[in-house]
Amino acid sequence: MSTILALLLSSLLLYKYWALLLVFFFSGLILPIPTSTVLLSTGAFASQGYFNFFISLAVIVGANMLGDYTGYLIARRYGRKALGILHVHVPVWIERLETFLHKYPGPAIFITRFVGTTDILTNLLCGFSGVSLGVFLLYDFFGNLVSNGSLLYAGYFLGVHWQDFTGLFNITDYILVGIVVAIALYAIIRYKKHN
Amino acid sequence: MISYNRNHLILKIALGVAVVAIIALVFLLFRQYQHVERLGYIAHQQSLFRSLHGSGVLTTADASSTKGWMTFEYINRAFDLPPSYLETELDVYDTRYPRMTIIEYGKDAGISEAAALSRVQNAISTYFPANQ
Repeated sequence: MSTILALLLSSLLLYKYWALLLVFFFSGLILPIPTSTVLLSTGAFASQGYFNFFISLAVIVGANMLGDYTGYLIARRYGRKALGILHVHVPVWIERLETFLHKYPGPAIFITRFVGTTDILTNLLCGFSGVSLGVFLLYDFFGNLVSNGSLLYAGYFLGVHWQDFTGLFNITDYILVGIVVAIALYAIIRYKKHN
Repeated sequence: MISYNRNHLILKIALGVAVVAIIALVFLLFRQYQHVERLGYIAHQQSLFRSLHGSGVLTTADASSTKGWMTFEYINRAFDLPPSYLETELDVYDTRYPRMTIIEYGKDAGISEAAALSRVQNAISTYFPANQ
């Protein structure tokens, strides 16, 4: 186990819900934190009575949504301005993904909650392309609830043996990233065809 | 027209890869579960529904699951040990106890992480036979 992960898990045991709040806020905002390991371990700790399952779930979903919303808000308010100041031309592939997000915001937001770092990019693109706040928060909530809740329950079910499964869940992340990349590529190609 | 067919082909390939990946994932999960069950990790009575009540207090069989990053506070709670048991057994003088990790205990005692972990696991194992 890496030193960073060990530090993260120690902090989780020491600062409990405060640590969860910070980890999931920053993972929603920008940092690529191994949240699947944190979720599995928190679920396992909850099964031993060290955490409360439902309070953990509420803190995780709330913090993740706050991080997602912050990313969305920054991109919405300052995204285009920043690009204008820096004289950066928006790449064509970004424009295509924006169009796709405008057309299917709900499924895109919901699905990317299950996939490690792609949700950060989706949050920024949603803000950038002006997806309505209500739609963003609604799908963000359900996506976070299902994705985080299922991993938290998996940890709860596995109990003390959660550590034997972390490798498998990392493989799952890679496979899901591959699927999302395939969908994004398809969206770009399809947009190209129509134009 | 050529471009249209090519796009369809790419879509079919992408969908095919996604389906194969999902099947592989389900297979891997099932195999992993079987493997863990065979090792006796998941107790017979720990069905999907019963697990809703949590795994409860850990016992001497779970002592090997302790890791260096774990705190004494957590270990005491998980194994239901008296708060001062490990402190006395391991001669911990650090004021941070029980909010300190096994790694930190090892550093204080001037021993490696593995040695510190071994001491903690032995202390947990010796507690249970004496208190059962």
